[in-house]
Amino acid sequence: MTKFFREQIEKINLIYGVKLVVLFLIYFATAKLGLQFDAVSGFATLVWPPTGIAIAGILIFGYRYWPAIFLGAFLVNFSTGAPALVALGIGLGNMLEAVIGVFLARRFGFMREKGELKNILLFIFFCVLGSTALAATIGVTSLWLGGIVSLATYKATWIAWWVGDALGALIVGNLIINFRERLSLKNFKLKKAAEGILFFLILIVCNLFVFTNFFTTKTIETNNPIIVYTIFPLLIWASLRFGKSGAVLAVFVTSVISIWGTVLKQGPFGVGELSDNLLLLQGYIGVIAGTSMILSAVIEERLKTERELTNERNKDEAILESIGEGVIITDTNGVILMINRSAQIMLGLEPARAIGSYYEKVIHIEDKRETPLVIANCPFTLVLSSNKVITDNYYFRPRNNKKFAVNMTTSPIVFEQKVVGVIDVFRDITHEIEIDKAKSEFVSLASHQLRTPLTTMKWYSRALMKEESEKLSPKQLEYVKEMYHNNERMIELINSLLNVSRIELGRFIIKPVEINIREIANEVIHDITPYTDGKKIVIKKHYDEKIPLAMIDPNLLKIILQNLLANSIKYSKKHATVNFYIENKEKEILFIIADKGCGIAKNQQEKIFTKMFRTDNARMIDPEGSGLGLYIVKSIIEQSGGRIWFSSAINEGSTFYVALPLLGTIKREPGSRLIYS
Amino acid sequence: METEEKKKILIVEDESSMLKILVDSFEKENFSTLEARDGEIAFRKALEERPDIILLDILLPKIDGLTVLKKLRKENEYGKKVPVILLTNLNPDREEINKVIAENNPAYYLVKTNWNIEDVVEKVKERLSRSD
Repeated sequence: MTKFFREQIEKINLIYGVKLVVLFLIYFATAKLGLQFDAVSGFATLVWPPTGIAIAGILIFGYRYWPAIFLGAFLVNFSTGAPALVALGIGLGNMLEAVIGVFLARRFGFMREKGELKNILLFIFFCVLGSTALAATIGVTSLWLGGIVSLATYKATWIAWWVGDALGALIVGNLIINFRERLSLKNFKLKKAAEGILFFLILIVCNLFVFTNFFTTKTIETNNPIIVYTIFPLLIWASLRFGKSGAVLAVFVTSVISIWGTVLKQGPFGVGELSDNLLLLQGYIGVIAGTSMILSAVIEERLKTERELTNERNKDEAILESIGEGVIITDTNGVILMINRSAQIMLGLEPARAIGSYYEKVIHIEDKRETPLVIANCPFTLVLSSNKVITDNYYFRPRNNKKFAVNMTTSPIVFEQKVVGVIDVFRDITHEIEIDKAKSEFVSLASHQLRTPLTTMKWYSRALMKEESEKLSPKQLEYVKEMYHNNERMIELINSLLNVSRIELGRFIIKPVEINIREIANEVIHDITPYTDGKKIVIKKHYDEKIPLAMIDPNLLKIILQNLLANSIKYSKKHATVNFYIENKEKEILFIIADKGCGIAKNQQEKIFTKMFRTDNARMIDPEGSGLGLYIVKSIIEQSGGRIWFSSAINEGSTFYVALPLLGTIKREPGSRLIYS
Repeated sequence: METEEKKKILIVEDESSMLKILVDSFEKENFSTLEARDGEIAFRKALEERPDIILLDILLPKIDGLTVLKKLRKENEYGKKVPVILLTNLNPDREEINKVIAENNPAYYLVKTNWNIEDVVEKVKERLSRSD
């Protein structure tokens, strides 16, 4: 194991060593070459490529390659004739220039985010301008301390040093970093390549013309410095058309040719004192380089952002397209903006035909009763005006196909708190409707068939009890009554079961009419007298003074009250009292039925309203019950928009509360799922 | 001298056991009874005999009770005015049933299993006394 790790470490060290040597050699060679140029004090020059190499090297390889720079700088200067200590100082300065420049730039976010502009600005600030100043200071101070430069020439030397390093970083450093990023031929386009080659030929020719006597010997007029501005448009062209790489390369080409020309004493900078002109030339190069790089960075950033946005949008579209349900998006005028694949298929619509057209012109929609909808009643109109979500059943009539039923949810699209469009999501419910129909027909039929023999039994045994009773012996009469009574149980059970299935199928109809609640309540109490008489139970009425006429379905109210009163009687002892309150609560009517009967055990309370549930107590007292009563009552109440709840304790009795809205219970028709707001 | 004429009632019901006991009960109450066991006969007899009131089942052979009601109402003045009590075991659940009821004005819709015959008789007498 350790052998493996040692090998790994050795391998790493080997790689490190090799890279170190390579960097050192490149740096040394470039610097040595650079010092061949005649320049101020023999140690600084116009565009100092080694700075660029050092910065790029540290950036790409890492901080721990600093020895390459340090050693390279030291040896170059030492071998050029500087005293050892001076060379050491210069070496230190150049090494710090690279390391600190990169460190500071990174510290402030260089290369971390995708902001091209930020990157180039950080680079310019810290690597081009900042750390180079540091290097210049250390370097020139070393020269001064070593007696090579005097205090008088300190300033000029410093400036030359700084500018040279700066341009080296800006032009050469940038070049290396940029092309390291772009060494892929991914987006190679022949046309673009041809344009590029053409451009660079033009650039070279212009530069040669401006800065050299390559084509013609220049006179004073044609050597006017203003001529250098003609290069600007070319550099801008490079930035716009070829991005960062183009800009960097164009700047490099211009720098090379302009320096070459000037040193040969040609071109606008070639006239006069070389040292002065060199500074002017450097300034020129710095300006064109900085401008081009910044411009190209901005453009790159924008292009990148555009690409990302397009990508995101394409992804979102793909998602919408693949949704299994039909999706249609319209703007606030009802113009279709998007229609996904499922919707296209279901409606038989080509996207070209649908998108851009008005919704109602291409889609024929009917309500669930198959009445065509006018624009004012279309779900998207309603949603726009009410800002609510609407879910309902409709029919679509596609042009070349049969109409089909859908369940559709229409929602407003809200963006920055404004409604900017509408989105419909729908699915075909033909199958569901068929099943529904089959179910309700079955229930209908079953109810009728089951009731037929029960009716006959009811009527005949009743006749025996009433009409023919004189002809029967007391025992026979008793038996007949038993038959009648049990038949009635059967009828009740069937009624309950039918109610349950009607509720569950949504076939339950609620027809609110204006009723006098008092009257209904009294009717119920009257009808229930046989039971109260049997157990000698008294129902005490506490009706509020003012009970308004209310819009409630009277039959359903009767079912509710009958059920609750019957329960309180059933589970009370003989001679008990049941208190029945009706209270006017402004927005609702509150019915309270309170008994002191056997009560409901705490651990059975939460299941009270479930289908078929009976408490142990109830089972003991009334083994005949179906367990459906409260389930039905609760369903009816909730579908009317009301509430039911209770409080109870074992052997202390139960109090049931029912609240029904006064402002109209919700009218309900079979099968509707509309949500009223 | 008897000032009251016997009231005529047409009972439409396809189940013979139910028909029998209904007829018996109304005869006992001094009604003159007519019977019909399918919708066609019911319609014909109604127009021919002009009963004072009709007890009408819904599920019938030939023509169902609701159609009979509709036709009657459209037929003539008598048909429009004659009180009809729907006596059936169907729940008034279906859209179709309620539509017909809303448009054709039966006097009552009674679900057989919920009514004793004596109460039905009461209802009939009540309705007849109202129209007198």
